[in-house]
Amino acid sequence: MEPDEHHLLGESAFAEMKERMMVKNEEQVELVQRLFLQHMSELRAWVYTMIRDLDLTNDVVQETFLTVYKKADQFEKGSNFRAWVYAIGRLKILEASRRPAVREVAFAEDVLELLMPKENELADNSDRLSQLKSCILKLSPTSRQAVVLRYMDAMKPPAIAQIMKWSVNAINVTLSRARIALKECILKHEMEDSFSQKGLAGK
Amino acid sequence: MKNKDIQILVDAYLDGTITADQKTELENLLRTSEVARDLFSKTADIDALLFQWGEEEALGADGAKASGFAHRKAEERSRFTIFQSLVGKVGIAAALILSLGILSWYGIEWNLDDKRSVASLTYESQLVWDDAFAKPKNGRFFDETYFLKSGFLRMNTKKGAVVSIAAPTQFQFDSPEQMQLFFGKMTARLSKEEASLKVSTDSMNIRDLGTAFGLRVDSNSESSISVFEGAVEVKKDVKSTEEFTLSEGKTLKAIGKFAFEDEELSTNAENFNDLWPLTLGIDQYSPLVRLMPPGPVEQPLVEIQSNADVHLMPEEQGVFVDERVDLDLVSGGEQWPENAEVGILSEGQYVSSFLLFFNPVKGGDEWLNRVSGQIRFENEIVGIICMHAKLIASDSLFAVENLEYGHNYGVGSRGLESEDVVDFGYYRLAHDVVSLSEDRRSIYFNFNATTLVDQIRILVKE
Repeated sequence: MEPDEHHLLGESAFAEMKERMMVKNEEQVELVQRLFLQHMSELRAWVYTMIRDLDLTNDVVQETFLTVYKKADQFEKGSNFRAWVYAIGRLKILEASRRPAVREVAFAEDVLELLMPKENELADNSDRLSQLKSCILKLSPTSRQAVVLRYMDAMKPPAIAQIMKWSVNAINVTLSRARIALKECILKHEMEDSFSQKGLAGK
Repeated sequence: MKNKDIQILVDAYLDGTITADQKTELENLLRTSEVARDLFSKTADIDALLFQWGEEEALGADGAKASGFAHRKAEERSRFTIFQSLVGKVGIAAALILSLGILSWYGIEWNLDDKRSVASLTYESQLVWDDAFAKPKNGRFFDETYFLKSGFLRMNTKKGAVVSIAAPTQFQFDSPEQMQLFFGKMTARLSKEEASLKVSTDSMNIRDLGTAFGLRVDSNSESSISVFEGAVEVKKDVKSTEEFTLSEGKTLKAIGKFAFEDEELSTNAENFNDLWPLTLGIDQYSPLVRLMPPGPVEQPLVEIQSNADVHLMPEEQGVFVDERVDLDLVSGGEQWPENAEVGILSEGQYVSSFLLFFNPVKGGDEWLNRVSGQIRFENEIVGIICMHAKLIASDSLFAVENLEYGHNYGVGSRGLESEDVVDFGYYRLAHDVVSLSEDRRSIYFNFNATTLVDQIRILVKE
């Protein structure tokens, strides 16, 4: 159902339809909602990276959810929910990229299409997120402050520069170096984990 | 295009600072270059992970999910009942509590802490706090009682006082301008007019009148205050009408509750030698740097001589610059005289001045003396004056009043030598060297002198 449909149907008809859906597919709908909730934070991050606007990110994630909800019946229990949801999200991002507001801040549709990860490139972020947390603590205090202001407080470099009393250029360089350092740190963790797993497997 | 330049464009895109032209340039690169796409994907991958981390940490996991749906359209709300139950009020409250913990964990300047705090730590060395009392939190002090068991610290109060403390010392803040010293040792300096500090001990109440002083309370509650600069007002207690104004160079002792005794500072100043550099904003210095003791300088500088040491003398502190001051060394990473650009000190700022001088023993056995070392300041060095004429010209603002600097003695050049001295083809003396660190907080010097004094003036941002 499209968002405006319930206005056309009227509140009572909409509620009745929803009730029917919930009764019919209650278990399936709850499963899909639970799985969506599990992946939503990661999905939002991915969408934001593509379209660079928080409000539009929220819109895209909501629209993805609505489609997931609508197609809950189609999801096969035990199959790859993550890949399914990302495929829907991918279409929603490309749809959104045609809007003028998105075109101002994000890449053109053809470029976004080139940058979309393939299904086999989608890695589960849960381990990497915990590795990221320990890597952030290894950053220098000033780099960590810049990262926190950028990603926790959603500030852009000019605002960070004012708080830290640095030049905007210095903040740009600091953020860039911090991202590289974090990437390398996570990679190192992954390699160590991989070696230790191999070690255990050999015993 | 080099990878480095592509990375700059990618970073600008991800940080939201890219211009329209840069975005078009990056789009074209991404369409045509696999290297550019790879670089983007790798950077975007960590950016997405950081975004996810930032959202989850800032609001807590459930809170982040709730915020994600805050903008949804009214007609879609009924489909989110399950989310509303999951991220209800309890969840959001828990998320807020969690986020406060996380903010502290990451050492972020949290606004509430900032408002409540009375002072901030600006220097620390081997601090050990007594667990039975409060400890500074994220470098901030609050209106609590602290017991420093070991080490040294310096803090800036919110009322503009610089306070240094040496262990063992127990103290308490009542407000940003009122503290109590139960026992131990502290020094304080107020370099700006609007600054204020009141300190009370068992036997005296002190109000700083824009100055520098040291205060010591012994275990038997005997208090002594020594005034290094300016004056302080001392009362036996807050309500007392009996009041002393203690002037520069004096020490007052309160023995018991009622007896006061005053004496010359010179007998007491050495008690504060360890804290004096910190109070002046000097964080580190080479062993050959002798910091002039607190209090008035009682002999002409020309009489302070040493072949192996340099002397650092605090001059006027917290001077408001309202006239032209010519500088010889301004920029970080530069070395005088080889590659230093001259400059002018910006007017309208407050600076503190320090005179570094090397004055070999006159008539000594050594005809050539060399010293080298470094000094690191808490604040940025805004400029250094090396040349004789500029030193003379800046005396009116920065020189200690009524002190003989030595330029009327002998030949009298006070500044450094910018060129090697060669007599009739015979090499006699290499020129002096001064350099400034990249962050402009450290000065490195190498002085060569025969019998003439080498002086430089270091101007530090207040």
